[in-house]
Amino acid sequence: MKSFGDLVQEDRVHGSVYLDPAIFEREMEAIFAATWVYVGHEGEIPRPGDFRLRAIGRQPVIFVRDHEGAVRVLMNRCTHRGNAVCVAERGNADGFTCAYHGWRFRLNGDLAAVPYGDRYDEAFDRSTLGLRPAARVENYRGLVFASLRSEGSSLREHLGAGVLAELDDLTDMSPDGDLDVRAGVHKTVYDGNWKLQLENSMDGYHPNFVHRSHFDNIRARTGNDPRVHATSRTQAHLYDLGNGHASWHNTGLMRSGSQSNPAIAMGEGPVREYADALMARHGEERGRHLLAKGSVHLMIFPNVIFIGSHIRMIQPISVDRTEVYLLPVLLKGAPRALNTRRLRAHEAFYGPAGAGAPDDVEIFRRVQHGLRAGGDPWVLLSRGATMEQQGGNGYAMGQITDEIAQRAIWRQWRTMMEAEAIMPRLEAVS
Amino acid sequence: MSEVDGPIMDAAMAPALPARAEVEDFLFHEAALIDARDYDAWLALWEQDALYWVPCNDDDADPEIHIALIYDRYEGLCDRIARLQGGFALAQQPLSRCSHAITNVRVGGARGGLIEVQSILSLAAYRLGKVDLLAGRMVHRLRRKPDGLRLVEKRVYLINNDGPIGNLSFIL
Repeated sequence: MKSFGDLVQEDRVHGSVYLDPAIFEREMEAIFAATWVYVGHEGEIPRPGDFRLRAIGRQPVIFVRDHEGAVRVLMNRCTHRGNAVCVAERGNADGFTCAYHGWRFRLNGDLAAVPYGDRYDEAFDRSTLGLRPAARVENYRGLVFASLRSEGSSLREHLGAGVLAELDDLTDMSPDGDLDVRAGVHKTVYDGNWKLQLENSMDGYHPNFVHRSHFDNIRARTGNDPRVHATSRTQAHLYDLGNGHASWHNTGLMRSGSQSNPAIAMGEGPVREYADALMARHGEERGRHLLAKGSVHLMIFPNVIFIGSHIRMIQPISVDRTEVYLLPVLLKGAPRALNTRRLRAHEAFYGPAGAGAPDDVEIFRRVQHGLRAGGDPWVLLSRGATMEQQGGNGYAMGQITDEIAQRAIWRQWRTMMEAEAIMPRLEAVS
Repeated sequence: MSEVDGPIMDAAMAPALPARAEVEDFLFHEAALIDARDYDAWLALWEQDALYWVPCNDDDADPEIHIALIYDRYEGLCDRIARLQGGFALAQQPLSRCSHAITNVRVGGARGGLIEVQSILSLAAYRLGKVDLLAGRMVHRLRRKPDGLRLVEKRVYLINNDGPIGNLSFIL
């Protein structure tokens, strides 16, 4: 294999990064097992015993609130013979009992009981045999990330000021300052590499082509043409926020469609009530900022995107298969009608039956197919590369149709893939 | 279980219940129009107070606070078929070839002036070398009009509505 520096250059990447199973295997260790990975929102598991099954890369974990109220991320693997101790995808439990030989674990992971324990001698130490926790679990405004490495940057350092500001905006759009992530989940699956979804989530060049059918419907119904919000002359920008993260500032596009902005297609009453609540909580200036912004569009490398009115989690399955989970976000303290409107707006575009997302997914499938063609193995990411500017927030900024976010993703990818030899799993467990 | 189980009679509003054969003819006709891609004729079966609802995650999800796979009112239905007819919906280039089988039809009762019908859907959808199989329980709510039955509500409870789903951009 060529070096990662050969495969990922500043303005182009080699197609094998989407196709090679060996590269995928290394990604699972060098990226997903090495950095902060989004696991869930603590509001998904409000009561002791509430749990969700999640994964860090391909490693199954239980996202659970223990009896003391602490949020835990535990390996879903019995420390005896490896059986997954939790099968239900969501629910509430007193603990986790292995179905194979009956070992029982507390919600905090501690090993509580071993049946027929008299056949172990005194050297058998139960205190060392709890469900393995993620090395680090940190929370920012209810958003829970886990890292399987005990060393490295803190979550806040890893995210950086640019990402934290976006997460503050996202959360502060709730009049109560907290998000409600209990509206369910759209689960989708496609035959393509996980990075295609990551890149496309920050691609302002594709909407006028991939989403033409949706835009045609909007135009026919409203007379407004959404295409003006995604051309090379659109006054909207993408930011490289560092460490592979990026944000997209294009309020016009989000307002134009049947998307997330709570101010669109609503009766006057709930909108006014919502605006008043935001002003009351945050004051005039910040309230106006949040209302004008309307939604947050943020990608945190490697597995989570905040877009429209949902949190999008990318779940790699194999080099050419990916699951994507879309969790709608409701605004706590907002009028119920406004939150219901967010759900309907989400469904209209996103999910497997929406008017937009299936067309994106179809492109991922076609790209995965097209990349197998030889001749020229390169994928070009040079758009706007020599025209980047410094944004007012201090971060590199590109025009909305530029590929600045894709370059940011790949720069981080290369850095992580080139990092020191990946620690073998055995060593990590010992 | 949902409220649709068992006959429900609302004495004040109850229309005369049709025979199962008439209801089956209507459901089979609806399915044939979808399979033949005659979306204009399919849309014409619907009343203006239409609701095409495919719940997500749980069969008893509350649409006011829970996400659905599909929650189309009449306008949404129009947008949905416009995408299928317009030629630019990439997920339907080419269009899925669908084969609907409607079975286990039961005339459940009447509620709010509507005739409630339960059935089982088995749907095979072929596209680009791959057959997707979908199955689930359906509830249709029909209105008796002078010229026949009309569709007010169609709910599809897919058996895998809490699992990963690929392309669902055709009509169930």
